[in-house]
Amino acid sequence: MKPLFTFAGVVCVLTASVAIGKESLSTEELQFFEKKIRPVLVRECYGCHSSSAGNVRGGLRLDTKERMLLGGATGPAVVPGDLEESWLYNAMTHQDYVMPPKRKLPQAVLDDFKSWIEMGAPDPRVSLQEDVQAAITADDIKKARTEFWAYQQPKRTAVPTVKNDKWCQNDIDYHILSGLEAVDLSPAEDAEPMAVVRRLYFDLIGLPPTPEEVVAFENSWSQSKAVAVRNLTNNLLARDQFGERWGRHWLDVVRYAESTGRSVNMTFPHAWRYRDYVIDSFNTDKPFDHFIQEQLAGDLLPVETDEEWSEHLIATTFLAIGSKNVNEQNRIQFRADLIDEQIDTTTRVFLGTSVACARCHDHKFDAIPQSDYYALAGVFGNTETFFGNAQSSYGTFSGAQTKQNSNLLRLPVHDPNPFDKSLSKEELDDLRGELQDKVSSLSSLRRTAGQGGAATAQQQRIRTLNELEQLSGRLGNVDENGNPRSFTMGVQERGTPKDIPILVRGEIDQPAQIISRGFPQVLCEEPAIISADKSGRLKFAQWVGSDQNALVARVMVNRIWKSLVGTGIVRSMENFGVTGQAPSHPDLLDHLAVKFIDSGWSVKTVIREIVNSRSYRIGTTFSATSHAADPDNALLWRANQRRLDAEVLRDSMLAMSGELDLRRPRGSEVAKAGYTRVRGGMVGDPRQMGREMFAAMRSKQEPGVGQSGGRPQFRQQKNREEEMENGRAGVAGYRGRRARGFNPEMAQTVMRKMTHQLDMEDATFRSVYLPIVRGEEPRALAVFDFADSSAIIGQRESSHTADQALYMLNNPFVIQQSRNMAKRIGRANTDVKDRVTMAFNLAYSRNPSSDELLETETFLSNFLSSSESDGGLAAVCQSLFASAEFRFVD
Amino acid sequence: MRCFYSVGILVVLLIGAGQLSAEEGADRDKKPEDASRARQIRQNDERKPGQQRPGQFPGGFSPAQMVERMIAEFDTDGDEKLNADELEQLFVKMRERRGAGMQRRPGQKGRPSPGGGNSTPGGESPQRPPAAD
Repeated sequence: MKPLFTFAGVVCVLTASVAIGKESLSTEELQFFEKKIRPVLVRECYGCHSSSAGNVRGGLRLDTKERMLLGGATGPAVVPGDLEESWLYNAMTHQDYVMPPKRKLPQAVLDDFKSWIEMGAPDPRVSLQEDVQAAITADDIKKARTEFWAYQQPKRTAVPTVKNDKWCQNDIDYHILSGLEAVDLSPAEDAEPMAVVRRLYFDLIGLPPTPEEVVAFENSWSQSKAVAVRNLTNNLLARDQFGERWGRHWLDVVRYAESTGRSVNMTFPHAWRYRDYVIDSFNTDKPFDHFIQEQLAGDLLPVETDEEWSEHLIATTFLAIGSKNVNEQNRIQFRADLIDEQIDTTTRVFLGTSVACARCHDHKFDAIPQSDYYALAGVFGNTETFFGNAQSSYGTFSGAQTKQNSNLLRLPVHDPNPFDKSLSKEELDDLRGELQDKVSSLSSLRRTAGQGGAATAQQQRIRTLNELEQLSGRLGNVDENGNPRSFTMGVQERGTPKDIPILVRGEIDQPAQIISRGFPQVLCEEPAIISADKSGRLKFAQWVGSDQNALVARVMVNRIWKSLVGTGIVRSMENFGVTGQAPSHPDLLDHLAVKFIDSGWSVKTVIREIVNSRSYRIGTTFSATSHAADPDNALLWRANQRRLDAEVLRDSMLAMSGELDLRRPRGSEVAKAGYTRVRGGMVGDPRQMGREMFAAMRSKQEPGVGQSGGRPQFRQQKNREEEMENGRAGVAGYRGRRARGFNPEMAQTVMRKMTHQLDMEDATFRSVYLPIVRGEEPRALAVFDFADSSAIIGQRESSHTADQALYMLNNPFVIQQSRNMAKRIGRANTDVKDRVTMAFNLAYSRNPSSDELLETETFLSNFLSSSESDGGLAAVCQSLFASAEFRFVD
Repeated sequence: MRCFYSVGILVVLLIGAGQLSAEEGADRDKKPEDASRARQIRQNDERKPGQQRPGQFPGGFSPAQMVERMIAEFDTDGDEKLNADELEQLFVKMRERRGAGMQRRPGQKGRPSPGGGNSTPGGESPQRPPAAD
């Protein structure tokens, strides 16, 4: 009986399918399609545009009705009744495209397609692609939404009751103490004022306190600890250095960098605008919900002024600075990867949820079906991303390895890149002439490529293409009068929003059913309703940047807590899902989240709340009992001793040496280099850089240095003779170069400067302004666990390695700052004891102990000074830099 | 031995051709690559000496024809060469017409650029969002 039912069911399904496919077709329409249209499609198109074609060209498939109407990268292949909008007809008639690529179809066939589209493109075909069935059901999603802690709205809870309520300074302390008392633990004693003041300075502005500031705090502390902390906190939060410190935390999270990364590493000369936007936003305590909305949909937010509009456009750089494989040959693949990167970053940064796992399959642990990913991908589907270089009216010339190039957005205000220079009319003409010559030589290279020397021709072609790309970019950077234009990275919406299909296993050529645009269901109380004419990105930004979702406030206060305490309440910073770690203090997390929302999403309010708690100022004193009960210090029975971040270490050395320049540099080294490929730690043309550096160094040389007497011709002749006699071409060549002005020391210096260009060892501004090029981070930062700029880093590693010690002992920057610090101390004091005391106060914010003082004085007296009189003191300063006490904050 | 292999290959090819014909009749939607490839090979083989491979130049123009068209359309000063201004006009026209890999025509036509950005000279002008209420 069962087989009968099964058979009947199959028949019904088949009948229904056929009926659905043909229900609106008349016999004439059906015959027209079968006789005139289908044979042509099969014969001429399916070879490249069907499921059996392998890598479907342009993402366009013509073997099903649905896929044909959906179209490929350029839009719908057929729009029933609209010839103008139908790309298929456009290509067949050789308007904007040429299809079939080999020839033009007979006019009769074209007329048939014209008639067919005009009659409404009747098509009886039924999709053969099976729908992707989700293993995660609606019930699973509902269950997760109602049961899993992270998907519940933060609760406004009363503070817990504690035995020792006198210890508590504010609500945070009740939560911390409650947790400790539950396992019969007690918090450590308050830290020493010297430790607290260092903690506050490093945590809030990333710089060490001066000895005078330490003394002032200690005096205030002796009057009232709470008042001393509160006043200093307010003081530090008002400084510009606060934004630089906390902006850098955010830049870690959003994978900020000034280049594409990957194998072909192209610069982002305008990324620095986003860096400055982030710093300014933290300094002005921009409401965090607005901050989110500007980054996700700043291009769509209402504005009043051009300045506001510019700021919003710059904010959308968030979506554009991800790493990119610009050498990707397949444009559709590149675009799919770009959207994937945007979705991954957005959901993990703001929501602590990894939605991108569902690109290829249902999420393995969280209730996020694959359809949710493509619902969100549709939201980003018509977002164009601008990350490359402005182009001239000559168009885009893709470099040989930059197939996926892009334009830039023009800023509504005049604020050009500080390194872009005006071009005179003559320079403009020269550039245009040069470009024209290159175009001519390129076309001649194409013609001669087959006539021997193909490899050489190919090399020349690659070089010419790269030069054309640069030339066109230089022309595009200026207006018709040669004045530099103002650009930013960012996004814009282009084209009609549309729903997109699920891609089977994430493969771009295997689309399945269409998914309506929407947001992850498990995070939404109600399904998002997106109107057909809107992409939904603005709505998504407003939903993410609001208390409508349960995660964003929790995720952000957890980040703030981690930056001040050392670990998060949820230790898996970007994973609040099932596989993430549960919060150590769930009520405290909710308390802070509610406080954050109530304060108008003020980051500074949450910081103030945390640092003014008693829990923040406890010491790092070890307790064997507490350690046995809570070895990870999850309950916070003592403060976490932390190694200073890479930037803080570098900035502190500069601050202690008196060399730190607190002014913000405009632009960055990458902006100076412009749009170019990064190779071997260098941005720009190495040959050009070398020439300029040699010229600069030669101009500084004394006359006669590197020059020997005699006429050059004679010297060369003499060298050749020596070569003949000695048979040592290398020596002779070297002498020859030396005679021509070659100076090995100079060459070594130039080489070091070039290969360490991005280290910027001579720079004295704050580390947040150093160039961050993917894979080429400055040595001063990389060696101390700087954030991987290609990844979302909520918490950096904190390692203690031999190369850190070697860096402190040998790096020219460290040595130079040691000397500068010694000079500073030497200028301020003449007495050895005073000098040592000052050095310790600068480095450790305390006086040296009697033993330390004695040992240091002995060291100085025994030090075999070099030519510098303060060589011994410099060695002491360098030793202080290299010490653990300098690198750690209690 | 060589003869044996040749006969074998011939037999396989014949069987394959027979199968292809059978498949053509059986399933109209499952055969295009082999047929079009074979047709292309035939066409290539049939071309006359000096004749360009069909379709090598989109639209059917040889380089010489294309140059003639360009000169005719853009050589405004009549020197039978394209100077910088004329070349620029040529590029602008190409971009408007074909997209050249980046530009769209008004009405969202034209091939979109990779990664989304297009190639409006001097950077893309952003669309101003509405003023706040």
